[in-house]
Amino acid sequence: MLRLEPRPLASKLWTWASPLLALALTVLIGIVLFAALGKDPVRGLQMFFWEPLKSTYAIGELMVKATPLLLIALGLAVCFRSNVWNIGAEGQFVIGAVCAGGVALLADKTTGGWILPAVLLAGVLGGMLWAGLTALLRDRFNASEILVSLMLVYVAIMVLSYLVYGPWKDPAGFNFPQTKTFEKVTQIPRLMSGSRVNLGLPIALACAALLWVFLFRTRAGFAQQVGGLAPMAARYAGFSSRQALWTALLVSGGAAGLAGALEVAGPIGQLTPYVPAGYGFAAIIVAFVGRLHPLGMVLSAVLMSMFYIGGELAQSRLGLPKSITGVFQGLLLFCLLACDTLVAYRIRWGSARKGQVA
Amino acid sequence: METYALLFAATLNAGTVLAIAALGLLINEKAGVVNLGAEGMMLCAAIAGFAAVVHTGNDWIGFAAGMGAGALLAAVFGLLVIWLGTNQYATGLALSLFGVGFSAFAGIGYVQEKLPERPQFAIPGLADLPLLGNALFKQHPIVYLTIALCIGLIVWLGRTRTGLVLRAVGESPESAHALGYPVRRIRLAAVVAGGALCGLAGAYISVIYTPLWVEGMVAGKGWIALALTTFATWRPARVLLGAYLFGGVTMLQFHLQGVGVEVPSEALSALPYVATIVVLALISRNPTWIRVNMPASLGRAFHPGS
Amino acid sequence: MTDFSKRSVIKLAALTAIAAAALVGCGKKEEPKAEAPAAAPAKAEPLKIAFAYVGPVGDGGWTFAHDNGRKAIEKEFGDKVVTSFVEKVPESADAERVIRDMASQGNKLIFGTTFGYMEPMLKVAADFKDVKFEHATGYKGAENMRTYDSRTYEGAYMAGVIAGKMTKSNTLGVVASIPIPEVIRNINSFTLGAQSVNPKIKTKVVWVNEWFNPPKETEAATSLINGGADVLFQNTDSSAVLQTAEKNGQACLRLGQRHDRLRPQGPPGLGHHQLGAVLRSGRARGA
Repeated sequence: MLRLEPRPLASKLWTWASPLLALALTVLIGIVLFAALGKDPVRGLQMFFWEPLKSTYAIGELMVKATPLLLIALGLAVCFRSNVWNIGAEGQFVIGAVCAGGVALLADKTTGGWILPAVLLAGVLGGMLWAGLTALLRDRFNASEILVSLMLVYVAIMVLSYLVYGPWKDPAGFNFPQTKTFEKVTQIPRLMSGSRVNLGLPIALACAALLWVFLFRTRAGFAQQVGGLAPMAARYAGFSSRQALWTALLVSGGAAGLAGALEVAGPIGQLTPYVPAGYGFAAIIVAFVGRLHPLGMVLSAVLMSMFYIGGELAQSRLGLPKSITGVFQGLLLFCLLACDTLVAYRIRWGSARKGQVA
Repeated sequence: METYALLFAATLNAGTVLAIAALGLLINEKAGVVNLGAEGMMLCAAIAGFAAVVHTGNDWIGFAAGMGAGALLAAVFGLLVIWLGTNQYATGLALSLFGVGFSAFAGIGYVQEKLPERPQFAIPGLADLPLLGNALFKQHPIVYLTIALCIGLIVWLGRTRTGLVLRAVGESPESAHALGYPVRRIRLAAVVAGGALCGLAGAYISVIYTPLWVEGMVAGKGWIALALTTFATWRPARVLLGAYLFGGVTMLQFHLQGVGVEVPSEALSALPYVATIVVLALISRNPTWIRVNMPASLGRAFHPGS
Repeated sequence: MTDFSKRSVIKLAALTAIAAAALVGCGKKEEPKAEAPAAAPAKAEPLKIAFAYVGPVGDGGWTFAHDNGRKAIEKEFGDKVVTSFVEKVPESADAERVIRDMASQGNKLIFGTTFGYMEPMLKVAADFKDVKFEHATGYKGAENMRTYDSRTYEGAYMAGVIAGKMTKSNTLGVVASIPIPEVIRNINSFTLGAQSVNPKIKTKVVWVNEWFNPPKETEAATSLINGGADVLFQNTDSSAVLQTAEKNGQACLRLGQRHDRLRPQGPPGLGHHQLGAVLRSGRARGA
């Protein structure tokens, strides 16, 4: 009989090895899945793990996809470490995109380069505003931030819909639901020609570095996390849980909003009803698989992007269904959570000790 | 007036889905476990139920298949959360995300399928009553079963010994454990039962409510059901009323559009969600009220011997 | 009678495009062979065609019709063409990557089947001058990119005429998807057609704000029926509205595919005109 024995100390080895084991398990199940669908498993794995890395263009696309995932995940990490469950990052992403788009639409042919930081700032503020709503309702009314932030996602999508079908519709667009394409001056500069990688990537990496400093080198970051790990101890030490709540939500809202701004001012170049791409939810997986650690999240963001792009390629080159991406992403998270037990428990053979009722 | 009778009937129908799922989640939460994977369970149950009816032609087998799918996923969730002690919120989210992806994957071959003709129901005699007949007595049996389920839960939770044990586990698992009750097994049973009911709700959507399969067809109803249990303060009767209220708001949105109300359709579409937020805020406002009604161990793991 | 079928318009467009592309393609392929005049002329490589779909192939509507068109091309041209498709490509930044990948994989003719691919296709068309792009229902083009569409409003007018004659309550209900120009065109056409035979009709419109969402479509249809409409017209992509109408004994017309399974009896309506109306009358069943 297998049984679980609690370890006296969390295992350092498994803290780092568990995501890798989870990935290995997911890949294994993937191979079985490919074979069951009648496709060559080797080619399948190739689509997911080799093709997205094959050329500079491919790596560039990987980075374009990973940037918003990473940014949102960084913000979510602050939240989850503080035991604040912000599920509504998608809504904050959308509102950030809306605000950024609003500022970008103000530009015309004569606007100077100052508009670009304004666009990004608008995105950050928009995301903060939307997350702030959740924080307010939790702070004042004690309403669960999980449910409020999630409901606000749907509301955010409706706000975007209203704007692109109504007041912000491109007058020269034949009544199609989209704003006009943003002026060149508002678009995020690309890092090199031949690739869509833009300034968003260095921004995201800089944010990761900033987060590392905040979490592990500042008192404020420490206070933030203690609230999540040991609320009683936090109160005893005088760390304000209210401040932790607002900080967590505003930071993650701002991060999601920035990601939204970078998406619309970057690869998309206008506001359309299709801005919500599910990054807010995928980022939850990125955050967990990355262990809520900035370095881990950089790696897991790249991994998730490989799943996305690999899924597309598997569809167009191998005829695999698109939903396989969703299955892998969900599987990865499940396996990770299961493997995480190894951090806190050892597996032992033998029967249960006496006195332990089920 | 006839229109309003029909609107009421449509509300009952729409609310039933939410009510079944929310009552299932209520059982979960009374035992102290939060299962955020409702959406994923409902979707997998929807495709399971749909597929079962396509292959066997029997609705009730479809419902059973849906309940089975929900129970199975809930069991996996339960094992992870109760025995391996994984974080309830994260595991529930994982279940949701996985369920969304897996149901889309499993349902690929069924997108073009049609079910045999859906039967019409009417309670003989009562259905011919003017107004009331249309409003109340032409529903699918499951709608009436849901009301019975609610009453059953009120009786079971409030007046039977097993119901009391469940509530005890939810309030204070340590005390229940000290009294010799198998806390973890009881929690698992509650989780599986809750999953089965979410599964029934999911199957109802794809077999009766909209007899088709399309990925993501649950469209957020699982999350709304979760919200319902909170703002009904974990009381079955309030859950039922809340579900009908929500169903009503959803149907009202289309009714208003059809009548020609000059409000942007997006605002009307957002109405159900805004309503949820408002009610949540109002209900949660009083922390004492919440503390009195919420199962005290909700969301916390239990380890015997710790 | 002229065939209004959306599918045959697409087929026609596809055939024209392929013919044009094949001519260009054949022209290009002559060059390398000129270097080896002694060798027998090699068989021309099959033309690689790729399709980007916005919905699932099984939606029974727009994407389904396109995919049938693709299969018709395969049947018609045999081994002169090799087709492939990617379904559920979102109308967002992802579209550019998918279309660019199609172009770089050697596809010489690429169909983008929805409005939202317009900007991405323009960008890719600029980088792949030797590939021909066909874009559905858009308004921007380039030297190697053209737009195609089908005259759905003509079928909608006919459907309106039928509805106007059939209705007893003089209330017609429309379950509409997204308020883009062609949908509004169809609704207006429908109303004008109905008014031409029955000036008293009123059309009620409910917007689902999505192309394909059966539960929402059911709710919208129910609310229209409850509001007094006895003939429904739909512009959404699933059969939910047809089913709801059938359940309530109302008539329903739609643009798109025929659904033989749903109406085993009943008049054939406009016959095999896919684009025309599918007449479904609960009363005709004798129910």
